[in-house]
Amino acid sequence: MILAFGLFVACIIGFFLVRFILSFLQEKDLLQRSLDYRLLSVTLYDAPDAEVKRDWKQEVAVSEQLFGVLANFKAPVVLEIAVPNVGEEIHFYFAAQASELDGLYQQVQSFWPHAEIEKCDDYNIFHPQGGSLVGYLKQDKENVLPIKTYDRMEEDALLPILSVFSSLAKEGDGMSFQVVFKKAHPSTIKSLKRILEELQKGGSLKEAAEKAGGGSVTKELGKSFGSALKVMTEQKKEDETSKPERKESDSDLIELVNRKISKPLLEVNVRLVVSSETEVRAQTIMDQLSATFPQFFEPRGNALEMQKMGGKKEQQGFYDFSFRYFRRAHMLLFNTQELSSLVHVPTKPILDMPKIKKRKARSAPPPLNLPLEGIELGESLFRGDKKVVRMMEARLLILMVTLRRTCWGISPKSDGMMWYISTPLTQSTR
Amino acid sequence: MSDTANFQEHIEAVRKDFEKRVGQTSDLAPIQEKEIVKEIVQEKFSPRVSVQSSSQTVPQSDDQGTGTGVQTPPASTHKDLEQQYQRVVDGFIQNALTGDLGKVVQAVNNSNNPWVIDQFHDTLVDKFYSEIKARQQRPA
Repeated sequence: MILAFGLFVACIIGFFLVRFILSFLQEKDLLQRSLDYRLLSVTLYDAPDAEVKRDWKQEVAVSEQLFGVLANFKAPVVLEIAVPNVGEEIHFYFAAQASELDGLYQQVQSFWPHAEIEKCDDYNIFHPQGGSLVGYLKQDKENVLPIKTYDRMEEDALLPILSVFSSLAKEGDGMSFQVVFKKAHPSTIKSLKRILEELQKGGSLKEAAEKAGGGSVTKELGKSFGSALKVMTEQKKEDETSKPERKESDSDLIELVNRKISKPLLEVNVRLVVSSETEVRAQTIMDQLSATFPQFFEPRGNALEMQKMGGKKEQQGFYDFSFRYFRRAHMLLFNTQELSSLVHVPTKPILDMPKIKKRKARSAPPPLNLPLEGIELGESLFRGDKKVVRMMEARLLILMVTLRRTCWGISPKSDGMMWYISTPLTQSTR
Repeated sequence: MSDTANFQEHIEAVRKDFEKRVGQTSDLAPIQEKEIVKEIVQEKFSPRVSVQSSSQTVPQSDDQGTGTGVQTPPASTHKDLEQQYQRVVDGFIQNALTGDLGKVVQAVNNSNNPWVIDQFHDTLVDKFYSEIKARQQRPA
């Protein structure tokens, strides 16, 4: 008896020891991978209205397409909208593992050819001594149900979120909206498909989930079903009196699940971090941000709500945010359309907002035969390639004399560096 | 101003030479004109002026003139705070460079200051991570 008890205790200790070692190794691996992340700043060209050919929904669809491509990266990709603690411009960033950064760069550039994409240093949104808060988004119901997506919205849902960003003070306030995403595990996708099949056979969502059960992912799904199942069971009781009504509601459910799995599925972490001079001010900003999420409520479908973190979890939240960790505990299951409805690369209405970092001019490549010597005029930065632009003095003279008949004139300023043209250009100088 | 005058003298010289060479010919193609000017310029100005020409130093000295005379404004409270905490971060970075990175990260996390956590991460990634990685890969 004593031996059996001793063996039992040893087993328990062994179990916890193995768990601790595994968790330690996992954290170490996570840290190494997280430090390998590099940041890209994406600044879009704010084209004049006449040049804009797409409406905002078509623009969001481009982001949706991009997320579908980025989901195939080996490591999770990060998208951040942020206002650093000092400054008030709203920046858009992407981050990926150093080995996949070039791929990320090329993908973003291919979808937005006129965007300026630069490798940049990391930013800090926190006030050194102020109050800071962190929260994460969670799905109100089971994750097999979709939230409201942009194709069913009248306005870009990111606009109200960015309005909160634009209300921040130039110094002392900082905020970030961090999205870490990766392709959903194949077993999750399989599980959702099985749920859909069961629903099509005529069962309720609870029954479908039970029948689709088996793997670890279903356990996770099961967890999230917990709260929602109550709602479903209550509804079932109500519907039992009239069978045709129940059938109608099932078809709604099938349509919703079908909509969810018709697009590539992603596992997503969404963190919201606010910092200000005082905790009261930080809380006010956080409340304003929380108030923007009801717009994603889908009747009979899902909704988003913000879960504020406190105590030790809050500390962990700040750490996870800074190190850009993906945590399964805070995982949302979105399809690419849902994710792009929540967050996307700026659309024209967003670029029209104040404080959004944008470009007023399109970028163009410098000439291939830039002189290697001569007077330095400045720098050309095109698609990450920085080149010093110089002009040889002799060439300036050639330019002027050759075109003298068209009354052109070039005069140097006294500093010899800046040049200006005294009469308007009327023809090519080449 | 002397630079401008000098430049205009050069232009005038090139122009006169150009007129002399072209003479009465009025139907020269622009490309021919360009070649003639190129020839004149090469004759008159080679060897070419190097990149570090004297004209380049002028704006630099101008900039420095305004910059060196003015005292840097006193740092704001926010900046003071940042500098104060940056010293804490520098200490952590120093430990990360010499000791166990995992333990240092744990200590940073225990600092209970999100600014310090974020700044430590940013400084490490932006400036020192390649160094730490290289050190870890080196055989003991």
